[in-house]
Amino acid sequence: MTCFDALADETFRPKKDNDWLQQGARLRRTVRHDKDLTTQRTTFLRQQAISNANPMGQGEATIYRCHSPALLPTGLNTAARSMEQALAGFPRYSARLLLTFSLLTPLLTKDDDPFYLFENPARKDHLLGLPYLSAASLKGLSADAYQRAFSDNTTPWAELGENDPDRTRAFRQADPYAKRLFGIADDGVMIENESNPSEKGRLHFSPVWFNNLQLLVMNPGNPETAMGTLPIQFEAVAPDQTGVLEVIYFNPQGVKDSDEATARADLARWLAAVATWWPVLGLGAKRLAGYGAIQIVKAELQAVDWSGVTDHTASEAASNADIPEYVREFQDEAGALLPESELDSRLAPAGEAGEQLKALSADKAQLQARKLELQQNRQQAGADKELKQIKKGIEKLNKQLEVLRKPLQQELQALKARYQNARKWLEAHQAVETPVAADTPAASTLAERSETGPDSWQNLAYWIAGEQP
Amino acid sequence: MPVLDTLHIPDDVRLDLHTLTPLYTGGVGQHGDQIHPSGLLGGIRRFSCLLAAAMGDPEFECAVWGTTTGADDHYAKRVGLRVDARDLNKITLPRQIHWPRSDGVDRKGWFYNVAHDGTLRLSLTRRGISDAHWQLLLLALRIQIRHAAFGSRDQWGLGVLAIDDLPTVEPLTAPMGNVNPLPDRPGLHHAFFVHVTFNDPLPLDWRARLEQGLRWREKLRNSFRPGMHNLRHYLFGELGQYGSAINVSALYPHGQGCALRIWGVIPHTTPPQFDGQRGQVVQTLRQAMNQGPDEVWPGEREIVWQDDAEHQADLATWINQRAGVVI
Repeated sequence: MTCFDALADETFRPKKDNDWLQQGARLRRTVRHDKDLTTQRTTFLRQQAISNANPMGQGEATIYRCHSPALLPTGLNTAARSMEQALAGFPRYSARLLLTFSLLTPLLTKDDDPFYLFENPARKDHLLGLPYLSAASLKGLSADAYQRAFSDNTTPWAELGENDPDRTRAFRQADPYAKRLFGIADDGVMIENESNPSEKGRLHFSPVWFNNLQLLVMNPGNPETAMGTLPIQFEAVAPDQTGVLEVIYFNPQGVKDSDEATARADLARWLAAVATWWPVLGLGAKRLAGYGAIQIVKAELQAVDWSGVTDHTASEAASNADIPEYVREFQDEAGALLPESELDSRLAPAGEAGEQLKALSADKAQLQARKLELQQNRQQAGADKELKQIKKGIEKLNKQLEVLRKPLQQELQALKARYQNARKWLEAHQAVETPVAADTPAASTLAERSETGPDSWQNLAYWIAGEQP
Repeated sequence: MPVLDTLHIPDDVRLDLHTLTPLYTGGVGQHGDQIHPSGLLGGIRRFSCLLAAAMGDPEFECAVWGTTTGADDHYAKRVGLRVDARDLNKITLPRQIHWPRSDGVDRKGWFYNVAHDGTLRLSLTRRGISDAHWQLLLLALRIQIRHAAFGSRDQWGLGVLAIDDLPTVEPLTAPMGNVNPLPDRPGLHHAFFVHVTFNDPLPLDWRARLEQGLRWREKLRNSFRPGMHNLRHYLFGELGQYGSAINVSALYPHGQGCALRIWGVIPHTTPPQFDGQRGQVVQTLRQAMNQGPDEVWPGEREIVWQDDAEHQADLATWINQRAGVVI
């Protein structure tokens, strides 16, 4: 249930006392004036945001945990995909980076939610309520890091153009690496002397997902009284969590500057830039004030046909060597494709909802079996009437199942899309066994390399570039 | 051809600060269970602006610490703060400290929760700040470390930090004419700093260390009784009315003995209040300090009083001395 639903529904009652989002939505619903808002915020802080409060109402900041099955490897968290799943079908010299970091201070990822109890909510998935740092933010933050890392000292940034879009554009036109990495946008404006003003970047970012939220308060000092008079609450991603950023470099094989050396140089410069600047400037909003500070933990590189990277697939069992992971995901022990009907059960909700789903599915299967039986014996007395009742019963069950499955629809769609890809692959590779001609190019080789520790991103960048730090 | 040769690395200053008295930065539950960057940044910002005001630089605050998003010429901070509190440990302070008062009034005393002890790693990274402003910022940091405190509840003894190596910075050069401090803004030219050292060793428990600071604070505050309600509240703070202008630390280790520090900026608000009474206030404070509280820490003590207002003619030189930077 979203906040908007809660506002609209007068009868809404949160199911759990400790569900931060639902309790916030409940309190926000009754607000009609600013004064009410302050009262409800105070109530929320006392009941939800402070743990083990003493008689004066002082206590530790509550950590609100937003665990969800959506963060399982098959869900929203694309960084959890295997190398084969992520890079299947990508052109030669494409690569994927998985950059692991831990949060030292709270991360502010401001969302825009007019119905939220606080003015500064953390950015959350609107269906699942999971906090994340958006892919767009990460691209912007990394472009900022790149500009700092590889700025041209001869021309100050302010002199590159009249405004920031113009300066960004000028910078990327002058730096071919930046242009390839981040692309260039014309924003619909015709630009003189540029035949192809808009160009898509080769880097593709994914959101970084987190589990834990907390509330912060900032109390700016009033110069007239030398004390804070207007405390401002912020919902933030709590520190001491690990995040994994997935970045994919899509190499458009066959076009200009799509050789291995170019791909490696592009990626090395991008990685060196974020490795150098993110740890000192941080991520997210108010990063210059110390929020969103990170500690680098690990760097993993997965690449298609790169030289000098360990051949990951070589260590796999011989029988599986040629079958991509995204296909094996849907094979049974004998290698046959699993029936599509089994996909639903893979993403079944857990706990009470899971039990309910099982019971409803069993009821539906029973009704469907009876329906089939009746359809085959329609002459049987009362068959038509019973069929109508069964159809109604199935429709009712479908609605109930839909409510339970709704939060997982997005995941289910992704799962079904992968299933269809696996089916096509199996049809193409098992039905017709074409002998491999001598001049057929060899299948792409996926390989990986990883580094750990605070210098891991930097070390990997230099290794990719083939240079010494 | 090398592609990483032209990589620019950040120009930053890294500080490993050790707590002499526990560090506290508040929180949503006022419990002190976490270190909040904004609680540290606010103090660093304020201290650097006090120095800039003393040196007559009206541009410093906006140029270094940014403008509000509604400003016509909006820009972000030109320094980035990084806070790493992993080497700080949570400690529980005495819940309440109080004693029978000389005037017989039953007061509740002072309340503490949780604070932090250990090493705080801070770094400040330049991102467009001018050399002159960077110099002022580092000088202010040095003065804050040497003579003042960080975080919240510094008026109640918390947040005194020490460092093995102060950040390197060039001294200020004396201007051709007089320095003209900014009028109507609090500045270091109106600051005073006092170090009180004791021969006796540092008490082992936090209660005794905090109580000593609070007794000095009580002594100073009481020197503005009877009457003088408004002035007393302005100088020492009053809930919902004023923040404190005068801060008194808890006892901390100093050589074989221990020490505490007292400092303040009078006036400390914009616009200034009671500025015509500064001389009288300072005289009253000095007298009270020379007497010391009734339950003072035993042994010989030495008081070093330094009033920046007495050095208006050679302010740049005085600031260099205050920062420990020798020309």
